[in-house]
Amino acid sequence: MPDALMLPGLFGLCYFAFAALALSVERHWRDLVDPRRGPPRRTVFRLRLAALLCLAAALSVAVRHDGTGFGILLWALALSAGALAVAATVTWRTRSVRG
Amino acid sequence: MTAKTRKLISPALRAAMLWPHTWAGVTLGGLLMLIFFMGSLAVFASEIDRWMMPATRVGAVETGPASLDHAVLPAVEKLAAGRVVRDWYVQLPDERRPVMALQVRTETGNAGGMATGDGQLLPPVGTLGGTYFFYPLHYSLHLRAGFIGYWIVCFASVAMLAGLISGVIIHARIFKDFFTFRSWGQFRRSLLDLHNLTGVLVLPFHLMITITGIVIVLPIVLPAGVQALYGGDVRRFYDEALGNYSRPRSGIAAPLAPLDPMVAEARRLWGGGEPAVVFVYNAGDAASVVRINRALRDRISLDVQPVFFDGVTGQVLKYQPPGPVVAIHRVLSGLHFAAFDHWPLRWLYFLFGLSGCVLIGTGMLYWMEKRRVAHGVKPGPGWRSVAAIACGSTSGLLIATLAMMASNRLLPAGIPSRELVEVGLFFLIWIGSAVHAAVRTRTNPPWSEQCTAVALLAAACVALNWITTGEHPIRAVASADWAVLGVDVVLALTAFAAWRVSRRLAQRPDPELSTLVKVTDHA
Repeated sequence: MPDALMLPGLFGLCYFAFAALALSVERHWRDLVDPRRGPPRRTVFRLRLAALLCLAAALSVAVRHDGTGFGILLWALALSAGALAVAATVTWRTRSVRG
Repeated sequence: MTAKTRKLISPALRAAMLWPHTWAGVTLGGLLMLIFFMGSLAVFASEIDRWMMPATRVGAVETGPASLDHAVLPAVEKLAAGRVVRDWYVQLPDERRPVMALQVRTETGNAGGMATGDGQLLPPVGTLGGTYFFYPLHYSLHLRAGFIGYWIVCFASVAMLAGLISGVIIHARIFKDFFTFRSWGQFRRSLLDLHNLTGVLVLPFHLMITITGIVIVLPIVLPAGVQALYGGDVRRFYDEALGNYSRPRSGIAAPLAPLDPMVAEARRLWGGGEPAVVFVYNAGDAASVVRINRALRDRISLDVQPVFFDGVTGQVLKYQPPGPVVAIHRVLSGLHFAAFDHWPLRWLYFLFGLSGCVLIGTGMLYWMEKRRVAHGVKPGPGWRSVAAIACGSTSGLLIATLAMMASNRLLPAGIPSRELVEVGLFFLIWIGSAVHAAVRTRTNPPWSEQCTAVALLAAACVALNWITTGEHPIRAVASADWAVLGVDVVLALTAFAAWRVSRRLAQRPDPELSTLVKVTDHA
């Protein structure tokens, strides 16, 4: 993978992983997708599987680019960054839905 | 949270965890804020140094390492100014610090200075800058006598660790509230959401940085092992554990062997890697020792792999890799120091360090908002002192830091003990802003006034850097001076954010008791 794509790829994968996890939480699903009912069981399973795959892919990107030590450290910190970005997005979208 | 863990964390356990969490936060919050904020600045200490020491902005290092014999030795002689040199060391230039830093100990006193890569001594920088003021403030509070500052910081770190863990136990709905930040509605609930969000989402970093911080100072605060195995002889402990070497002066004069071949030999022993620091102990003596440390830019571990040479013959005296325990200690310390060259990680360390400040700050604010209910609109002296400490340790600390940076650009170069004047100003202005916070706290600390001061000072710093050094953003981009540009950009963002916050706070109505009574308990 070209160098320039490594960081956006890593943070993007972490962001998508946590976005999937956030949608599998009933409160955020009701706020953002369907206010009448929570996420179906099957959707929750698929979202979590997608999140897991994204996280694994992110780890592989980081380790392949930066080596084991730096890769794991970068991945672990990128997780927090991705989760914070998702939390900010959820707040922003929910706020605009609620008016 | 599953039913099993819910049973594991009973309401009684949660209640038992709440009061130490609260007390540790309220009493040590200000100190922890200082430690986290200065630690975040220390991540970019070299860049802040470039900003505060304009004479050292000499552009990138020329290709090829400086010759120690031709560039460094004459600079050492010049610094010694005819006095007899006992020991000296030089930190060689690298990407983040394009100049050499020299320190010389003579028979009648110490001398230090900066020099360019080819050995030209620069005029005195007249400031402690990021590396010698903000960074030591982070780990020792500048209280070095008897390691008292280290003890205080370590105690606060243990409290931080306890706070992080007890916070996770108190938090009732970790997974349901994982991404929840309700910025609307009740102010108190928003504060708690933000406190939980930074506490949970950045928990891996906070745990890592707190534990490794404690691990670094373990030999100081838990000296039992050194006492038992080495009879309290710390020097012998370091000689054996870290592979150090030392010997006393012989008193017989002898010339120093050429240094450049020693550097070449050290490179060969490391199997690649650059020299970072060269020490010469017992200079000009038959028992002189040369120590060469490896640069840390390509590894996490803080193991500098020192190689020791006999200063007269140039033979290797000692090169010993650390044992397993010391190697782990070095890796954990390296995780904390972030001495490696990795810009994404450096920024993440900086931002997550600041997220620690948000965690501590929202914790204190939440306490204040919650206690307001008990105290009513006319709060008592206890509430007011916590409010003043919270204000003095957040916006007050920012004001002091920015005032020091502004004074760095304003004070004339020639005044005596210029660096101490800057430090004095930092502490005076910090005390002043804390007193201002204490005096002006009625129903609220003077957040809005202090945020205005932060905004004005940060903008003044950018303007003063431009006026006094002629380095404006476009020129910084043109000359690829990313260090100065980065500091200027962060200062400008601080000014903008602080201005927005102060405007919004000024429009906020005073709290009314009617809205305060609606308490929502978070447990």
